[in-house]
Amino acid sequence: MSGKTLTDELRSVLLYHSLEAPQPSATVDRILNDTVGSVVALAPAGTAADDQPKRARRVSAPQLVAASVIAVLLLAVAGINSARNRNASQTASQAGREQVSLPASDNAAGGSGSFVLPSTGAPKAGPLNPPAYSGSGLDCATLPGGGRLATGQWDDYSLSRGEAGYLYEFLCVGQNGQRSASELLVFTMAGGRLQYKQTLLPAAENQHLDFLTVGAETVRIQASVQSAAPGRVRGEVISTAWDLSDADPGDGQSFTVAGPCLRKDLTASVVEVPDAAAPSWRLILRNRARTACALEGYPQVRVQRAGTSLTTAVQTLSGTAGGISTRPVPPIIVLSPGATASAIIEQSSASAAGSCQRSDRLAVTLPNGVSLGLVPAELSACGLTVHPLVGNVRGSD
Amino acid sequence: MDSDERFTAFVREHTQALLRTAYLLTRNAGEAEELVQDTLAWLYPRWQQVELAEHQLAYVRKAVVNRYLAGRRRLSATEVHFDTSWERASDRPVDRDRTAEVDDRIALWAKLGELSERQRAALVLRFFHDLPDDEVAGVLDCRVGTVRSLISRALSTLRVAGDFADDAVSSQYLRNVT
Repeated sequence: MSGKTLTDELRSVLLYHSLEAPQPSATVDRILNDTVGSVVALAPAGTAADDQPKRARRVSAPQLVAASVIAVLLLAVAGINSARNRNASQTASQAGREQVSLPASDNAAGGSGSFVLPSTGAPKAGPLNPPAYSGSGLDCATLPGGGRLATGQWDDYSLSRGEAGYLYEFLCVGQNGQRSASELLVFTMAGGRLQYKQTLLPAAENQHLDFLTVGAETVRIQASVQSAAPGRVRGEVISTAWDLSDADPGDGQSFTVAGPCLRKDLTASVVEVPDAAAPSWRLILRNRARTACALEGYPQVRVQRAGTSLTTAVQTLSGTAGGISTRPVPPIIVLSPGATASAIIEQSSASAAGSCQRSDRLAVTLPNGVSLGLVPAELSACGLTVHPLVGNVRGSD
Repeated sequence: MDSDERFTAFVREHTQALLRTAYLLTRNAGEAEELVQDTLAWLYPRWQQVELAEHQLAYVRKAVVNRYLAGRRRLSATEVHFDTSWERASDRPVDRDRTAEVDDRIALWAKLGELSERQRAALVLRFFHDLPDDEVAGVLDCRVGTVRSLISRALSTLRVAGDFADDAVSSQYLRNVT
């Protein structure tokens, strides 16, 4: 080797290969997101219609928690109003409020779909107040995935021609906090009355709404596809945009953000969480492919010893050791190349006190039904719960 | 500037340097990102302790190295690659026209991959960060004699990657090989 010394060559090789290290920007964002908080500033909901793009908001952000509380209250009102709606004129006169009914044919869920304006209906100057939703709206129980209505949120928009309106998002939550179908409706405000305009995202398409951006003339969403619609893959994340200035925006223009994570895309490992309040482990999945892939929900974890199944971890949103605490549903994770998702597996303190068989492997299935295979892991095989996958190494949001 | 702002400033300023160290240790871009991310997320609630250190970057680098060594012990037995047909090596196609010298460097890099994690960590700290043996020992939480032994054995393995000229530094370590 050309007279160079071993240590000189070693320094040279280390320096050369250190330059192959990943660029820091994505890692910096993930670190700050995991620690000091989101690096994306969220615009406050309900601000005045102004220049666009007006709002980029992750639907499953902590606002959902507050919105869920509101939704519960609204649903309680809805129970009253559903009875009232049998005699709408009486309700309107009694409440002193104006109601707008959804056309039944356009309400995919077939709910009563009435809205109660916060005033007697007189047009307001300045920013519009959101009309509170008072109908049953989306009957989640009848949709794929079932469940209950987690929230009905609104966004206002303003078209360049001066037309103002509202977007209503209805998100369902199924068993164990899994998401189920979402729906996105458009209303316009004319003469102080809400008028149903169209359904952008029907619940029947069974997409899970994740992210919404409202511009002057467009609405763009990011959602995960849950049905095997033509040209779509279950579990893929798509972005769809509609032109609201168009009298008939149709189905919108879509492109794929990420396909569902497959077996070949991932590595898996299980590590024990040190110093945890209860015995707990992290199931860590890493994207080893060259493209992003998507995950959403709970992994299925079957605990085995010598090829015999001992137990299956029960899926719960959170527990003593972590999980999802800031939102009612698991996040939709777009896992970039090299990035990591993880889920906490924990044992209840009561179970930990007793004697349990120890596993030697976990049979792991992704939330999208893809079987990953067996992962070596020694853990106690009783009283186990598993929480949803989150897009970091801690297993908690 | 509050603690969060100081942490943010540190992350923005030093993540690239930490990623380079992590990449030399892990030899994998994804694992390097994960290692740095995991370490800083772990240190975040302890950041006041980090700020008491005389040299914060050295403190965090030590945490990265220790987490790498602890993590490898945990992960090596359990991490499963589900599809072995996916070839990591195809990421970086080799230019067949490279000179023999460069080929030897490739061989040296490959040999680095054959070392134990502690040997590789000792070499990275000694020859990439130019730390003296006693500071390497401080990072690895071991005696200076152990560091010299780790380095001497590592250099002995690397030496077969090429025909190297006499080298006072490596000779000093290689004399320690028993």
